Amino acid sequence: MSSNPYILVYGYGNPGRQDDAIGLILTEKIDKWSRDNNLPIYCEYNYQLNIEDSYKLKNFEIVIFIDSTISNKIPIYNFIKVKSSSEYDFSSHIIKPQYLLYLSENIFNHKIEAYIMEVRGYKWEFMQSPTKKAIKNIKLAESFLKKFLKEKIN
Amino acid sequence: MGQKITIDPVTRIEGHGKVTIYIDNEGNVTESRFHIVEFRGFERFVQGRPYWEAPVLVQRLCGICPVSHHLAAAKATDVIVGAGYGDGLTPTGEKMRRLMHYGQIFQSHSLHFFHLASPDLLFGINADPIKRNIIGVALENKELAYQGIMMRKFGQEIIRATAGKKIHGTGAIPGGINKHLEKEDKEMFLNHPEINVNKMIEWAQGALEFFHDYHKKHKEIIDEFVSFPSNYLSLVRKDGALDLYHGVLRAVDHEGNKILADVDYHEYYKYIEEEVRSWSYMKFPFIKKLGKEKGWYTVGPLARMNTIDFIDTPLAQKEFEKFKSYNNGKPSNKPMHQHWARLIEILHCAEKIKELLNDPDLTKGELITRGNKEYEGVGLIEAPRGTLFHHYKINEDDLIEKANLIVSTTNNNQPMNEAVAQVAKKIMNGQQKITEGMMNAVEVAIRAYDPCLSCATHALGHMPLEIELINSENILIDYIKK
Repeated sequence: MSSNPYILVYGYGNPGRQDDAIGLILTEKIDKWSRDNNLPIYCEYNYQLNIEDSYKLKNFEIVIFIDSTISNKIPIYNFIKVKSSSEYDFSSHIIKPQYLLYLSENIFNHKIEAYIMEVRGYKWEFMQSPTKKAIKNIKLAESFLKKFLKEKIN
Repeated sequence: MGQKITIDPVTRIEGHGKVTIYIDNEGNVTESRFHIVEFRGFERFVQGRPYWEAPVLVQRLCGICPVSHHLAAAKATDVIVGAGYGDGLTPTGEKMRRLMHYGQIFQSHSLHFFHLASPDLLFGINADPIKRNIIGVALENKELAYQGIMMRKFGQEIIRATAGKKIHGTGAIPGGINKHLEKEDKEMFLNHPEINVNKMIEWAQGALEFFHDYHKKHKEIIDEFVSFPSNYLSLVRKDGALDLYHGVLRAVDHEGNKILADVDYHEYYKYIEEEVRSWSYMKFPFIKKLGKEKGWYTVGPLARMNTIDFIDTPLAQKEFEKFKSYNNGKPSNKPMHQHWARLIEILHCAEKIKELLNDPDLTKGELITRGNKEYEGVGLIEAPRGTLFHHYKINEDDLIEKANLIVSTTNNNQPMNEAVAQVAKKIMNGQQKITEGMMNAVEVAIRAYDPCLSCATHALGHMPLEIELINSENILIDYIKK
């Protein structure tokens, strides 16, 4: 990893629930690629997003959140630019990327360019390995992300 | 014209909370039910796995409270490896686990209070949802919002330093712990310019001052919004002190009379049973000797304040004395006092963390204890949300044959239903439509218990709260979803 990373790639999910691990697996691949090529990218992993992650954002200019999705409207992956939003759930167990951006802007006065990469998953049983279809989707998403990140860095 | 009720498949998605309110012909609430879809696969998931994997595997149940499961499973497997029944670890082993546990409770309670509860308290139940969140808090009281986030961060860093890593933390193992506290981490927690333990104690005291001030001005919300008699259950230390990591099982009734007088939790099944009801995916535990109708109980911060005799850290003890005095020495039967109790525990945990950081046993000493193997182990711990039970049986090949788990939110199933029922009767009697304000009121009542809605996977969608209003002909007459 370069000494001054300004891009944060943040994958999250449960590695023990099959395709819920997609975010972590894809982030691992980007992490390895970034280290091998000494790119200004820092990779973070977690079960889910947390409110203190808003503090982490202030050290970066660009963030890409990577997650799995169950939505059948997304056949392989979906990559979108996102803005902040104050909408939140009634439980402490769900924090959306848009909400983190809002916390970052309003509490830490830091605005960041943000994207979400959602990769389609299929099964969520208590098992370690993702499905074969999910692995194919991860490969395609990886290819896209690497191209996107190269353009951002250059 | 009303609609027939259908059970939508979405109600089978875990992490879903739904409230059903039944009204009679006069529009009076006759019954209400809070349905939580709890993931039930855990016990089968661990079957056939070696017992030593349990403390790591169980963390996959939950992304918010993995540490509680990690430690409860470790305590159960301590028994299996012959490391005693909760007090047989080395000093380093126990103290490292305690540090991990206090970090966990500190961050979990901080998240709940600053992120979820303070908006309700600052802005009131009927405030615009756009304002009633931590951003609204930040605009009114930026320092409070900032502190909430940094307290969370501090607790998470304590967990990282003790469990080894954020995901698949492996700190607690059967018979002890697998690492000491690094000196660099100790130094950081004691002396970091921005977030150090003294700052955490100061902020915890500040949060209590905020609450006391709010309480004086809004007794109608804190004391009168919801109130009902309940039994209370928690672990207490043998001398009656608050002990979030280990102790004996105590239960008291709403007047403070003992129902379970400091019994050995390893035999919890002699005292606690779980009832299944047809309309819920979650079980209803109850104290056997009182029966199903009267034996339900509350767990969590309020239960702990109601069962203990004292707190062994001085600042939290002073706050506990205020709490007890306010309630005339009896248990508080006001669910909104959960917020007060939670803040006392935040302060207690910060004091305990400071004690442990200054203890030389954390940076040196033996890590593991072993003894004669047993084939069954029970581990109980006071998780942020309440008493958590893990119970495993193994076979001759060291594989888990059977597992039983009672999580805190399951213990609070009936109390949450009582709270929702009371709110429903108060606010919805005579109504034919569910308003945003009613939804908010139900949310506030549920949120006081900080339920863990089985977040083992979040990719199934966000966690909606739904309220449905059903008339005497079993027809759905209104529905709202958030």
